[in-house]
Amino acid sequence: MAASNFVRRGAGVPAEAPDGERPRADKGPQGTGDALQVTREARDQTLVVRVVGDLDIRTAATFRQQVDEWFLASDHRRLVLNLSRVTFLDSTGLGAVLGRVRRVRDAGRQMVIVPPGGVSRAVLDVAALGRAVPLYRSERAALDEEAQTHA
Amino acid sequence: MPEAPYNHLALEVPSLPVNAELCRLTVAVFAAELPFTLGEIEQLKVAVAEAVGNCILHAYPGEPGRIALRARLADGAVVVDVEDWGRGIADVALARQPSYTTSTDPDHVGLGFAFMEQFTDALEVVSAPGRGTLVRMRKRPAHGQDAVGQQAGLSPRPEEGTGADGRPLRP
Ligand SMILES: Nc1ncnc2c1ncn2[C@@H]1O[C@H](COP(=O)(O)OP(=O)(O)O)[C@@H](O)[C@H]1O
Ligand SMILES: [Mg+2]
Repeated sequence: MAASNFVRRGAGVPAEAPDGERPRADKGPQGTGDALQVTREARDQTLVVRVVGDLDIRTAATFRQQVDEWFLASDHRRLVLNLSRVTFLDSTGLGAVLGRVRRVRDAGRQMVIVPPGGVSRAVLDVAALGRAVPLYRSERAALDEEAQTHA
Repeated sequence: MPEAPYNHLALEVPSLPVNAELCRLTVAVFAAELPFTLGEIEQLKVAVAEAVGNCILHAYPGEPGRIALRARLADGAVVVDVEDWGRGIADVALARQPSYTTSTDPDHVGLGFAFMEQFTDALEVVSAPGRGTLVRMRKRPAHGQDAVGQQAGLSPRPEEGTGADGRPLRP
């Protein structure tokens, strides 16, 4: 049963989930499974995107698709990308983050990042991320800053 | 007395994206035998993920192919081999340059080898076009006991638990 669910969900068909369990549409050898969760919250002109889990060779495409759809295809002016709960970051994930920075800038919009800690932070620092985009200690600090610039 | 590496592993997986995680977690568990800090283990995970990721992205661009992951403990260090039998690299020195990439994806940063180098103590790359690539990485705990594991059968496993800084509690 577990095996057939695996294949069925992998094919993108929503599975009936037992009570309290979400269907995992992209579970499967090529999907992102539970490795990555990307969520959003709109606040006026600002869109907060929170990334929880592993941003790596398996999940980077999902991340980039979500951000492009939610932010670039919207009319939000400012993106707060909260990476503080990223648990693993490789060069593919780094490239996806830098690619969003470039595309947001090309679209003439603003972006700030709340970076992760530890080795993932070191991975971002190798690419001198702090020079390309403002970094904030916390999501609150990033949002407070916005309140000030709009005050 | 001959020096006996007291633990080793060999694993073969197809070049599917899901296996980058499988390999990095496997090596993390394997290496935890040595007194690495949590930060050092995280570094090792990134290095392994980059080597395996390159097999997935570059060695076998079409059909998935075989990736061999080998690890061994020797001389107080962990030695990790990631090998493929894919397209190979014509100029290894060039490929190892930071920001060098043959990918046409604008999101590819070409920092895989840079991270392998930065997060391990030694990196060797042997490759031949059309034959495949062997990446060998070695990492030693910065604050570990010297020559841990040189005596066969003597487990160097540190006491359970780590300090707030992620270092083993043992000096
Ligand atoms: N296992 C491999 N097989 C074939 N080519 C490889 C392999 N590993 C690396 N390369 C080559 O080396 C280049 C640099 O690798 P890397 O530093 O990881 O950057 P990236 O993966 O972002 O291109 C790749 O673009 C590729 O041309
Ligand atoms: Mg790479």
